[in-house]
Amino acid sequence: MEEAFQDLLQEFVDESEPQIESIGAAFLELERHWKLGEAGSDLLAPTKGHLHTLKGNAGMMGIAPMQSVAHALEDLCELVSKRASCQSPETAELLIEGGDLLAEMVRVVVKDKPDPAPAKKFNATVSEYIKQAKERRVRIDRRDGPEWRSGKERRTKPERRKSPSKARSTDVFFGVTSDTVRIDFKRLDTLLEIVGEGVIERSVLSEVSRRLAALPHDVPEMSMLEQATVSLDRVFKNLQETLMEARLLPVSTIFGRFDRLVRDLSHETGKSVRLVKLGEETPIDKRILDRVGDSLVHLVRNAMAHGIDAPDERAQAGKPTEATIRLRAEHRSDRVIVSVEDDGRGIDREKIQERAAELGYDVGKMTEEETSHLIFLPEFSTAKTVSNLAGRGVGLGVVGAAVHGMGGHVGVRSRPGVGTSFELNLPLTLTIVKSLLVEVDREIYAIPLAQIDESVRMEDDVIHDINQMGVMNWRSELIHVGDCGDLMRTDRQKDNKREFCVIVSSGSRRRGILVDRLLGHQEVVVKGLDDILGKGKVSSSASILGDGRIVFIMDVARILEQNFAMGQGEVLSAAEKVT
Amino acid sequence: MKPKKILIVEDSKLLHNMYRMMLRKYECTLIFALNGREGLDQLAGETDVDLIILDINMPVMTGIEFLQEVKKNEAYAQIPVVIISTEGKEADVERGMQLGAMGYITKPFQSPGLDDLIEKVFSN
Repeated sequence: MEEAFQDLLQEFVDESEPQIESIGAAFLELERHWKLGEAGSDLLAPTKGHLHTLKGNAGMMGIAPMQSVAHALEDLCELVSKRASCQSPETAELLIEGGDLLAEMVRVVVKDKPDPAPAKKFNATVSEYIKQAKERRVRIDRRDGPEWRSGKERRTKPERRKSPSKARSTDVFFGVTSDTVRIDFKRLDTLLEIVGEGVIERSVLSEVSRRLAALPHDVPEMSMLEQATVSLDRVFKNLQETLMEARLLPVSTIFGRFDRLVRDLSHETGKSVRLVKLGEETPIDKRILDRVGDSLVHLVRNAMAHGIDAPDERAQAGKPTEATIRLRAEHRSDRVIVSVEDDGRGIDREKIQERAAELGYDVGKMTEEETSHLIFLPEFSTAKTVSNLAGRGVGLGVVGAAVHGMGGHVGVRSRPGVGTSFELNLPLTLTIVKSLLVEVDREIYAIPLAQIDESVRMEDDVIHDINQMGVMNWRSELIHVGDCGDLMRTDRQKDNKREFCVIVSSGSRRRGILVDRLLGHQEVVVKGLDDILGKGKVSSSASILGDGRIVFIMDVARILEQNFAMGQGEVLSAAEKVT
Repeated sequence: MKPKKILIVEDSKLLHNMYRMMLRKYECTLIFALNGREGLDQLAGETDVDLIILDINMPVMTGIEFLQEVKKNEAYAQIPVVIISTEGKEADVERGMQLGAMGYITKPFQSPGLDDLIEKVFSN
């Protein structure tokens, strides 16, 4: 590639991605048409056009593998438009494989030259395929007589696929192309960061305004300042909301790729499954969308592999042969709920309890909900016996961790023989987190409000000691209590009295955290930390407060997990009494 | 060479930028059109176009259709046209040459190839 064209790589990608996406979608559509015995020829012309342009552009950019694959696909399309007999599952398979290759290559090309080997192999396969198709046709033309079956008849013969479909779904998904401006998300993030700084400066202004108001003499300019601060507040809120909305994408952006995934897994597992998508237009922050996509894939794979029963099993149970997986997204106040439901076998609770007991959990004392939540623990997935767990396999620990990392939580409900439903409860956005500021040993920390159940003033004798862990009664529940200073490794000041206890929860875990003072609610702008500096395990991000201080946002989920993993801090049932 | 005015009719914006880079050395004014229809509109609005670089494969109005229109119109018929083709479109190239195009080059091409073609056209 010419040196100068290196700069144009990103532009090449921007121009080619939507084309490759259309090409991929067209191939899937053609496969559907051909299964029904329809030609779908109106799809071919625009697809050929895209392929041709792509070939030309890739050629100019000197990206030979993409050029050659586009060319091979063009040839295949040419074959298909000339010979109806080639409108077959095998051809569709090849087309889809080629489309995937293109998608994979365009994904890496900005950083690296695409590997020429897969392209070479694919092209050779296509050449051979086309050659054979032509020879077959020649042979067939010479046949006379009733033994010759027409192309249409041949297609209705049931296709027995011995090997799993070669074309694999890609792990690529593209941004939504809209009719308006195409903007880099990084740029949007930068804009939001700038607004974030503005919010902070605005709160400095508020602070100043407040301090001036406290001074003895009054000056008319004071009310001007106050007015301006209030207006500025409104302006920034507006700006923030608008920008945040700009970062929202409809969930259909990622739901789209599941058609492909379910199709492939259906072939692979031999289970007949249909995918129902609900709430596709539900908007979610792009950053969350990016992370939740992988978790959803895990859940769908698990459903297909373990949750969904085989057709004969279903028939015996009186269920329709075709299983259903429901992907749903909806808003609930300021949260987004994304769920994956199946009508399969359900979770085998006994096996889970067995496994949990092996790991040292006291399952007798756990509620159904708590037991179900065990499957999200990392230990479960590293278990050797995990394959015996009817219903769920590996990967759920990853889902749990990913969702908690976003400030969300996972829920699961299941009925044996009826089905299972996983629910991901996610925040609307990652950027601004309404938090409670607390002070402990002169240090300030922020705790996201979403994870706080309540803050209570500590009376004496409220905390009891059980097994060297503090425990207290909160609304008829006994919860473990920890010291915030210990957690965050502060310098313990002897005369500091922990006057408040903040009850935090994530998933089904709950505990109390003792702090010195409550400093009120604050919206904090989240700036991620690349490397966590020493506060490592229990906080995950920092923000800058109005008066200039950096505060750490406590990662409640991680705190709870950590302590749970150490065997402490389980939620005890209300039945247990303490003297 | 005195500064030239070149109309580029090409449906890929990526290629517009490539042309900008490749033709920088010629100190020319570049005008772009995304398809044949736009190309005709551009011609109507400009004077002294010295060269048309025409992509043969375009939507809305094909390269050949555009060329036919250009050659029919006295005002533009004399402007030299160079065809950009791709492999497999030889028939179109032949048709284009018949219609009076001065030369052609096939994608993918590199700067030197384009330079040669342009210099050949301008030296006539």
